[in-house]
Amino acid sequence: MVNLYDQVKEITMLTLSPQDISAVWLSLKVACSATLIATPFGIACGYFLAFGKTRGKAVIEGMISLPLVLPPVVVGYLLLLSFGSNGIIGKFLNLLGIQVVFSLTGAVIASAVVGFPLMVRSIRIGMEAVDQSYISVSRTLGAGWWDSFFTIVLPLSSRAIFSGMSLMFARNLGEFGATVILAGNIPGVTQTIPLAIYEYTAVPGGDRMALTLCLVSISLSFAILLVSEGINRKFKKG
Amino acid sequence: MRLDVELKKRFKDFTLDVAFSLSSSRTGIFGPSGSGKSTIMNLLAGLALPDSGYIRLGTTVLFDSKEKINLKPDQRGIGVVFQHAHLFPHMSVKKNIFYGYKRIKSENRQIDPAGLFEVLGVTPLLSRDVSTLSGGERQRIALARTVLSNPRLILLDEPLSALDEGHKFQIIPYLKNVFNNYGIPIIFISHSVMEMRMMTDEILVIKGGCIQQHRRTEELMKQPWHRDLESYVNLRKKAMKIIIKEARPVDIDQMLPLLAQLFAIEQDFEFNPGSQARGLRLMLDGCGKHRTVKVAWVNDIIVGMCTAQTRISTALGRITAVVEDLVVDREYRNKGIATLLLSAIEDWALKKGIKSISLLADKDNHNGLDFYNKKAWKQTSLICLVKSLD
Repeated sequence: MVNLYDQVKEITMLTLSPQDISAVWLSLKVACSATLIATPFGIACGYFLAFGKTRGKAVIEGMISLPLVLPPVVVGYLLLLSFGSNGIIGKFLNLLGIQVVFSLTGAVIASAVVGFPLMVRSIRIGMEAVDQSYISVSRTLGAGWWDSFFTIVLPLSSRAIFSGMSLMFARNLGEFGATVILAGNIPGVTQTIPLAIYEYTAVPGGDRMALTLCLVSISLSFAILLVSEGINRKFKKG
Repeated sequence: MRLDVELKKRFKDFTLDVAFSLSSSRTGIFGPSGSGKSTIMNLLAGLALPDSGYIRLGTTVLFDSKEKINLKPDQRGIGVVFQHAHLFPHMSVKKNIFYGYKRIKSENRQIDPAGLFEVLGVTPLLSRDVSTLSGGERQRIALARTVLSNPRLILLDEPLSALDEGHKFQIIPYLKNVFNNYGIPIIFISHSVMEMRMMTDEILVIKGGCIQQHRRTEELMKQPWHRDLESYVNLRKKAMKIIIKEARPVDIDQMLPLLAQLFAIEQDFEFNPGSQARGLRLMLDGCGKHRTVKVAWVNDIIVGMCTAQTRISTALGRITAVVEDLVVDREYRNKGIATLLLSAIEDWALKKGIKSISLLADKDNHNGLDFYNKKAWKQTSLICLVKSLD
């Protein structure tokens, strides 16, 4: 009983250290950047998967969905091989003076790759639900392809796009495996909330700090869900 | 405006191979479901790609496989009004109507929106939400939207078939007004003889992806229809004989096109309650309790039908009731066809004190054929009796 009382007391007196605040801020920054960068690609892939008629569509779909089923650590390792100084992309980026490994860019890339399939799936389902006849009608009314895309396809699948973005954002907040491999766990640089919690659990007496960040993480996730639901309802009402 | 078309398009189990030239301003494409009518529409509008051929509208080449010309749908100047209005659900009625109009350069805008709204009677609808419009209203908005986009040709793909009878008869005058006032050539696609008669000057009859006939509407309506009937719907010869035999005393020219309509369309038929419904003089009855006689009202004619299981001789021998002066009252007008006839005939029978009359099955009556079941209609091999009201 005393232990429980102490724990409750501790929880109610939680405070965030500057390092924690930095981790929360970095998490939000990484999740936001990854989601925003991935959205145009997500829309393009979703459109292709929903309306494309290429033969190899199933293969491409499989490749896009792969990070969803692979262990994030595997994804992180593959990214490390690609973006490392000897990797195919890494070599090229080095020439441009861009450092991906152990940097914030790396954390964003890792999050974007891991969360991308979730976004694409949602957008694809939303776009598949758009009646092709609306597109045909708009084309016969004089709208070109892009015009029809922006005035018909995007607005009619906006709920799905937003839903995909929320899903990806939420997934990014919890991303650990791929990030720790590609971007490392550097406080103030690449240490996001999950990485900070991981570090606290490995340090004697770090439980309270870990618990604090867990609560922050829960609050953030819950807030995202609430905001997402609220906006979703607004879309529904039109 | 002249339209020259020669198109081939292969699908897995269907090949469309058509060639025609149209110069009339109101042309119909008529044929049963699955004959290729909508495929022609999609190919003309640029919504599908033909395997080979050409499409020339006036002096413009819209498609030519040899010259490798294929104008995109937005460059063809062909407006389409689909079976379902397909109003954009995320836009207001006003935005829907002006969707095409806004995409035309102001110097090319030839139609005054206010005048068109007057002609189509859509002004009161502009402030409404798309979801609150009835089928007929939606179709009028879709028509306004297409006309305002300034097309050189309008394709009407069964624009009335999704509407109930009331709305159908409401919208036909609007359609006529639009084409009388603005003179835009139309191609009217339908499987209804009556719509063809009302809306077109010449008709292409299509079946199995090929053009069967291309004639003036009035010529087509005058020709001995039983031959065409046979080719359209493959009615059994036996049944045909019965039709001719039983129909002799009536005006065959008037009756057969309507029968053709009833069978060629295969999925629904015309019904115009009240307007000219003076009644029927003879009604086949008495296929027994479990062999319900089907009746359908086709404009001013009642067609009696019985099930395939009933032998012809038996059916003819069982004409037991003569129905006279059946008038369909206004109160029946809003009901479904089956319900309406059932109610009207039952009322009549009751007044006459006839107890043995066993007519019509409605959709809930499982003893007879399902009135709304297409297969059941196809199985019906015998048209028992038809009588003109005049």
